[in-house]
Amino acid sequence: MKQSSILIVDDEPDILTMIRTALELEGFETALAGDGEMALERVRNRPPDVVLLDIMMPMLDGWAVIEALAEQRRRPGLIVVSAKARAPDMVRAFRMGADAYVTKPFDFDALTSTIREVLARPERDRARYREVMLERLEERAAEL
Amino acid sequence: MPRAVPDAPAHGRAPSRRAPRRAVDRWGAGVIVVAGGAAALAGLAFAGEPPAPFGWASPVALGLALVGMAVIAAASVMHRALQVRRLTSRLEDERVLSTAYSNRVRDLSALVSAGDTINGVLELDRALPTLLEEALTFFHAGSGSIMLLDGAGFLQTVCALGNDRAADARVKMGHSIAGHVALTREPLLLDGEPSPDRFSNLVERDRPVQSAMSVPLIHREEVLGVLNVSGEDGQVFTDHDLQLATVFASHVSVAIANARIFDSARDRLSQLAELNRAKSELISAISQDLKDPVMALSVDLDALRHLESEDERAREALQRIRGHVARLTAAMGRLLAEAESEGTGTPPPSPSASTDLRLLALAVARDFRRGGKPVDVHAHTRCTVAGDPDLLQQVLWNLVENAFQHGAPPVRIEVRSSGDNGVISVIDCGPGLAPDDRKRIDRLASDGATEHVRMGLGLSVAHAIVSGCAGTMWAEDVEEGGAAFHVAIPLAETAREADDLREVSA
Repeated sequence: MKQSSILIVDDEPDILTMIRTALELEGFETALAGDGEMALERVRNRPPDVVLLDIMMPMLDGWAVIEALAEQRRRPGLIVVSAKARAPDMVRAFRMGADAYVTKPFDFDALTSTIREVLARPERDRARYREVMLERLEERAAEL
Repeated sequence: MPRAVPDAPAHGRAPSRRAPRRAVDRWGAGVIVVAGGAAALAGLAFAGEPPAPFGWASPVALGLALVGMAVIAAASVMHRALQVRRLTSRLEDERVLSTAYSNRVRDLSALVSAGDTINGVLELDRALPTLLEEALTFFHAGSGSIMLLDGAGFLQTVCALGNDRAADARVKMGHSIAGHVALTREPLLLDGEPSPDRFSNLVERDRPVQSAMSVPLIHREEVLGVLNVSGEDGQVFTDHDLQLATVFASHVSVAIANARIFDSARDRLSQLAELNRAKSELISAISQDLKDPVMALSVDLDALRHLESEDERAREALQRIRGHVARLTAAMGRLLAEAESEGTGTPPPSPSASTDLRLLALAVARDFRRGGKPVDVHAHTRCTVAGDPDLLQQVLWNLVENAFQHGAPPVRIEVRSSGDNGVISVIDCGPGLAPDDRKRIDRLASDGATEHVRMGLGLSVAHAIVSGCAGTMWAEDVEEGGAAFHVAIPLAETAREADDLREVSA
């Protein structure tokens, strides 16, 4: 059975190493990128199944990467993994095309189950899921 | 600003993977060549007789063997290509990690270096330009400013670099970008030209900034101001930069708070110096005012002496008054000298005079005896100490007076040497020291407290004089009853040797 490939994008080396170790133990194939430009280059060279993307990075930040990936005809699943936990950032990420949003610090089990969910979700369902998430977030923002 | 990795780019990049891809392509070409060769041989085998070296085999078997070999070779090549690709990917991962670690080390080194520079400057006027310069260097930014909050709720630019128009900016809390940041206490990353609808009273610029950061300066929950950093043409700040700017701003906030404390301490110090100067002037004025009446008193006393009074007691009284006037004149002279030295900031000259404690004890005992207060003197050897005779006479006078007032006769003075010190003791036969008095005397001896114990001001004055002569003073109960006050002062010879040693060291 083909291993699912995950591209981990973060400028923090400890986070890269930690996530790589955890995902390889779960049977995923991993690749790393330390900034946005490197991430796009690795996606171009060998498109992964899922990208775990940090937002706060030097050079090209996560928002620019999401924007660039959204222009691709067949883009990988996109999970934003960020310390930004405010609803406006989450809304922005889903609007730009993120398939899931995990806030730091995160639980590895939760991260791997989110990855599996995104992998299992057919591409045509992703847009619908994003709409649902956006509705929920906006409702929550309105409540607050 | 010194950086840990001076030649590194702003943020290091992991190398490209194009070279490893070429290696994979070569493996693919190899597969094609081997498969092509095998197919050609197989074609030859099926087309006719096998070549001479393979004459022993049937053409079909030879063809099959060659095809099999080609398949095995191709599979082997494919496997190796896959391995190479995996290894290449892993190598690339390690390079990414290495670059990320280098970037982190460089960021931290730059922050530490900035922190060192920031903490090296204490005066606020000098600190602010340094802080801003460090910030602009750190972010490779084109311009920036530091705005500090004043008491009226306005942010005033106190330092600006690269944008002259920002130099005099003053915005109300909540207005403009800086006011908004100060009010919300949230750092702000500006991407594109700021909207006047969102931020009122924007400071005009020659060229609108496309990317900027504005970070609140907060110290112990108090907003001190705002640090603004604007990018150069084409420079775009990211959230990562904003995160670093927030860390940087915390350094800046501490530096500003420290500089303010330093300025405040400096102001207080100059106030104290001014007060001290005023005190010296006052002492000087009082001493000058006293000088004339004391001198007149002295002249009148001389005149009285020439009247040749028949009354022995009157003559003795006159003699005592002359002694008091002499001490008073000496004390005023010292006060004036000290006031002058405090006013000019130079220490008074160290006393180079010496006093024979035995002669001093005899003189004081004689004075008291004349006043009807007999004092025994036990002084069998000469004992010369470093100290002004008038001052030490004042000390001994106070101690003997104290013994008569608070102790009981007979009172005796003992003089002896002890190591490098000459010791003079005044011993009475009174009730001894009360426990509370002993504590207060100990405090006086240990930290120079000016609390007046049962013996009043005299002991405080005596203690101050003894300390000035590098001596010590202490009190204790006497076994047979009564109290003993001891004064130890360095012997004149010892003091001279110590002075010589200090000069040589200097």
